[in-house]
Amino acid sequence: MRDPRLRILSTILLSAGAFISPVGAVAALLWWALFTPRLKAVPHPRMLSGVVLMISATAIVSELTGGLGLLYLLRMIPILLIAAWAFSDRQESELLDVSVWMMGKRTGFDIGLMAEMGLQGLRMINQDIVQVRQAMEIKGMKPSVRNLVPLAANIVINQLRRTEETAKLLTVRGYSAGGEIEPTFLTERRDLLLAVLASAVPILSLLAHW
Amino acid sequence: MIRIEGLRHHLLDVPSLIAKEGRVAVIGPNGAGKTTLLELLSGMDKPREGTVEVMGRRPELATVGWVGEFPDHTMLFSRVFDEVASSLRFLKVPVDVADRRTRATMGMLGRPDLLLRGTGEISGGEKALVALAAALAPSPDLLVLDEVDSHLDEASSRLIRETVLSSDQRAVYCTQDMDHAAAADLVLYIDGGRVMLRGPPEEVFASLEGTCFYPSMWRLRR
Amino acid sequence: MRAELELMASREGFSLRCRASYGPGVHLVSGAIGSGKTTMALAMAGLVPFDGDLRFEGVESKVMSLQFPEYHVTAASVDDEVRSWGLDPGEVLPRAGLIGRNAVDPFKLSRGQLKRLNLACVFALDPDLLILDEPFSSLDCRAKAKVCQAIGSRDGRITMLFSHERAMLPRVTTLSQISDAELEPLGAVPGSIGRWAGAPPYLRRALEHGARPRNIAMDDVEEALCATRG
Repeated sequence: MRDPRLRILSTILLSAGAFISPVGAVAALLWWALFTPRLKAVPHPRMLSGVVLMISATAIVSELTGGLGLLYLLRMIPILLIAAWAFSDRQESELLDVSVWMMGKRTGFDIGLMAEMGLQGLRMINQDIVQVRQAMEIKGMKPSVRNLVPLAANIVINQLRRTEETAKLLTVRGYSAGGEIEPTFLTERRDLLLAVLASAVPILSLLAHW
Repeated sequence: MIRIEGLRHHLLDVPSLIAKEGRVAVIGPNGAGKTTLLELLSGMDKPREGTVEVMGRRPELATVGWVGEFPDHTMLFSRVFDEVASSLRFLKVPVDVADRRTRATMGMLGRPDLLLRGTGEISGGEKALVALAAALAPSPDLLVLDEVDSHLDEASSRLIRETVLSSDQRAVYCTQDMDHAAAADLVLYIDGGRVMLRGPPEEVFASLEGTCFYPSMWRLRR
Repeated sequence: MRAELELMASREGFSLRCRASYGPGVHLVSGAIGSGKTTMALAMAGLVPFDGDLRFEGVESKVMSLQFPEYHVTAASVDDEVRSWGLDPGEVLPRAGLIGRNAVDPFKLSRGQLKRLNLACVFALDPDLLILDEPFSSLDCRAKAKVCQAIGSRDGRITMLFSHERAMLPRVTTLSQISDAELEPLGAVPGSIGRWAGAPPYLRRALEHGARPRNIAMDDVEEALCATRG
């Protein structure tokens, strides 16, 4: 979906629908299966299966001890898959655009800017981790719990330094509060249709619940 | 363009310095205080003692374009367009003017295609170019470059250098490339926080002749 | 002593084809930013996966120095940092120009000082294969001159130098360049100098004036220019 506002709206509608009742969960799963690239869209299959495993374990334990674990599992899986799709469908600078659209040129811009900078920070941290691990291998330091401390210290200190640099850059670029920006969105007819269909899911779910 | 009087700040001790229009190159060994001086000139820091003025005003009141040593580490946005336009947006310039200036700046640098890209996917040289564009977009009173060419290959470094030298943009740049310094109007050699040498390149480099702080292309002349 | 490469190294969606053989000496590899120098360096150090063959003969030890020295820091003091490399601070600190800084937190050093510390450590280790990724970056010309000396004093060992340094270069044994995702070994100097697309401006200018330097360092170029002037 090109329009991030519709994507966020759809995600909320589908997740709510999935949670309210098992019928909603199945409907949400159906929406996911029909209208998303499905498993191709999952960014880190390993990470996702890790989360699924954790939730399954919780569900099984709950079921065995008399809770409603399996029903919970049935509802969580569509929610996770929808979340994975929403995450992987992101375009650049969406956070900024949506933020300004929702909250205006002052607060919205500031929040969007922070989100963007946060993402950049994450990107840098990813690079840092790779390089620190390479450096440790060069020294013959095997990955171990003891070596986690220098790794973490390195990452944190580098990030702090960068934060200082970024703060200086913001100052020199004239940042005070807010920014003059007109976010533009590309709303395709297909996106609108899918969002409308997504809104049917919580409605169905509520009807089934009663 | 630049006026410094009675400056005492950390390591820096500059009793008096006046630079008229043009390009100023700052050279010297590491740890001499070059970056500190550049940060004072850009208004990123306030002097403990003394005055620093850019275009007759306190630096934080002037519009300064800054490009740091590692533009890769300080990209604010994920879209190149947002990055280049950032200063204009922060300064609340009307959107249509800001967009036009952003496109014009990248056009002047010869890479309007970069505006459609993401800041994470472009090369190191392109990132430096984007940072330069972001600094130039608000038509700054002074452009300050801190060792931008130190980590670039020759082609990228040359493009940055040519851009800075060709326009009539007032600029102060710190560099380890003595050939680049030799193209300035005024060269400052800083060591131990003091401006040991100042003057046009021929004068300053004449005093530095036996040292490694000497333009490689000039060595060929002798 | 030899390192032979016949491989395809990949990193972040980029692939580089390398086919070369490096014996004892200093081998400079040049190339534009993003051309793959670091990828090749990491492949030779065994830090990124590759398809193909990397054969060593008589190479008992190899060490790589990364471009950004901050990544190497694992200890809380300069002394401990040197010891983490298995070295004696008393020997290494003078070489790094950091006498008296034993107890300082490495992160409090400037990038240039950290780089000098790091380089002093890898040179002190004196491995059979030393891989230097942009060793001159973050250094002023005085420190660069010391690095050139250190490189020059490694006799009978293999030194891989990945750099786009344009003024202070050491004498080298061979030249190689990377372009279009492929390594092109140009062979031994002085023969390969004429074919070196990555030659720094001072070398290019000297060649234009008909000089035939024996090597790529400034001294050699000046000497060769003098010779043309008679």
